[in-house]
Amino acid sequence: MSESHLHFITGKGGVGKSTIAAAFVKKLSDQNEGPILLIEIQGTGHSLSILGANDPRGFEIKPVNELNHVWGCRIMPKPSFRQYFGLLLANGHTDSTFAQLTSGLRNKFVDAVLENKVVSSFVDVCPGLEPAALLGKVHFECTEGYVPDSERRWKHVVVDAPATGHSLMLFRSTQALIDVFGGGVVFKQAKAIMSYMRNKKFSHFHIVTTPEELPLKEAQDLSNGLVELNIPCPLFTINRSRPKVEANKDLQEMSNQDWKNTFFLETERSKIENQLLSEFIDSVGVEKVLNKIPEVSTFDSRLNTIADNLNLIQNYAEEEASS
Amino acid sequence: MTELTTAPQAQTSQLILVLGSGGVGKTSCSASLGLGLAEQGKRCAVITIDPAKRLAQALGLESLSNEAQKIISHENGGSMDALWLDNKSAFEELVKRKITTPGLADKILSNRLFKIIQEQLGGVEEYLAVDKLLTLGSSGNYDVCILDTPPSRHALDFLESPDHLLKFFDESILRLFLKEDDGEKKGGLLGRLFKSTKAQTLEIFRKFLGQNFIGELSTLLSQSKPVHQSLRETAQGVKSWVKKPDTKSILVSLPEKYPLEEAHLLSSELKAHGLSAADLLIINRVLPLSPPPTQEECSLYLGQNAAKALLEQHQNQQNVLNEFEEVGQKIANAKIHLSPYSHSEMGLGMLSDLGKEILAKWEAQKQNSSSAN
Repeated sequence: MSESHLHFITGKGGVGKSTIAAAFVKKLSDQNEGPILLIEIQGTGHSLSILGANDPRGFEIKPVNELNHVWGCRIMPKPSFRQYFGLLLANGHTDSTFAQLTSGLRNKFVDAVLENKVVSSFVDVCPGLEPAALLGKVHFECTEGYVPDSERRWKHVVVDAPATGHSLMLFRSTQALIDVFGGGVVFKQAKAIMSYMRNKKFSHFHIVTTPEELPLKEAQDLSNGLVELNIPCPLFTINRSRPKVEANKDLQEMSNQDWKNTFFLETERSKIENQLLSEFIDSVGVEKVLNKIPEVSTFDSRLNTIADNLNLIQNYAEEEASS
Repeated sequence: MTELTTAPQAQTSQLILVLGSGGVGKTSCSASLGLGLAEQGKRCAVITIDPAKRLAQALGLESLSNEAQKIISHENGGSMDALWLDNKSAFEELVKRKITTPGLADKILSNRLFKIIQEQLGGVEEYLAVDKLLTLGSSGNYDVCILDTPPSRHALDFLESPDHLLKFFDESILRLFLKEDDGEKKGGLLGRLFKSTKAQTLEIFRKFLGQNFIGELSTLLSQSKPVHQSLRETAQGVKSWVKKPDTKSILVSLPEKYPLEEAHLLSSELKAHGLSAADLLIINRVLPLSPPPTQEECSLYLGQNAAKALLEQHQNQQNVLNEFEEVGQKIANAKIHLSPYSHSEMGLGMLSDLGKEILAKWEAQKQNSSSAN
């Protein structure tokens, strides 16, 4: 049984990570890299609607009609633990006794456990469970998930992840569960999740940023945070980098004040962007900057243009042939 | 109810909430508004979390601090103070402030589970901001308190953050859990455990979590009991302040598709919290290029590629703003556009000019709408 490639796409809020995630999926699909599962975390991403997917609800996996071999699902932070716990229990992770039960009986059991009032209110407030469940479901799809109604496994699982701070929290909390506890299914699962995330062969991290002060700073903080957790060093995608200003004429000659101001600001922005970007590249290393995506303002062509400009991490087909 | 015995201190300042998704210039607008109101003679405080370095520098702030710092005072009595919270130390400060029993705060802070709580519990810095806000608002030192709402999954989470924390620390759920546990132990018979479906489900769940987990959590929650009462007070205090009739809410957005959609969502959140439509919608960084220059002309000053990008951006802004026109009228009582501003020229003077511009445009909108009615 082969594991899936996991692509975790994150970045500061508003830098366009959902658009990049959507373009990434489109490019994989165009290159016949399916089956692909796009996971969106509800409330933080909108990559599925960018791809024109029907509104998926819960953890139901639905095909993204406009693309070949692409499915999508949306994880909701709150009920995700219950769903995840159900998945684990139904797949015999909790106890060997349950693995021997028929699936119908197991499902009855899941219901019984989760419908218990004490358990359900406990789950709502218990620290560490929600993050572990979010990552746990991603991990589950990578290692045990199937394309609906088939026996095919996912080749790629792409996660339109929450913004930087929240994403880092997911990993840190899961790691903390391992550090603090020595037993129980949650502990075992947390260990399995983190070791999958740390495996360079399967797990790939992308940080999307714009060439602006705060997004670049957050990108670097997140990268440092992931490295501290021994998660493979992420690659950066610089989004919305604007063409360099090359003036032939002195701005003083412009008589329209609004235009003059705008041109002045554009020139200034170009300078600041270039400076920030070169400082950033010096500090993270040029090999870590995988993509520079130009600003594209017309929405219809945006996805195609970005997909055209997007480098995938490596050629997966080649990699598999050589391994 | 215990809440009523310790009613929060009365809020004497007017509250202005500034809401918007990340990166739209919310903090600049909040600071500008404070400076603008200060020039009009108002005593203002602006509360924000983790501001951009450049903006803090522009206001002459060297470092973040959990105390209000004076930015400017005018002869007319107006002034602006800024409180720029550093979110990293938020939780520790909260625990140390609320728990006065000697040694207990350190015990809690060193609890291993606390590490997870600290990671997971976004909203602590929001809570701290709310808590500080209430202190400033009842101090009698300010006419207006401007809250630059923290970036979070939901912008109005800050209203709920005391409740979130309270729920988190609420022992009763855990007690219930442990009680069931004790019951089983007293029975002492495995057979009894399997007789009851309830006990059986709990047993599965305990296996799921591991025994240590329950014990550790129980210790932590009982230790942090003193936090509860003050959380209740804060929750109550902020909710009643927000609902006062003179409270204003300002949405900040950009002339782009998703930021405007998020502004729309924010306004539904306002309604869900019993507030009316926003008082003002600021659409920030609208290019003042109507009518636009030709591409040839633009290219002379910017070069062909940058000119094309700029004009496309302008066109896109216009399209998006047109589409948004109708929705915009529904979600806010007034709407103003601001042009992009220079970051290198950002300083007290520029920001207070921006503040005056916001206030003047807002006033003009109010007059327009009242004359139209």
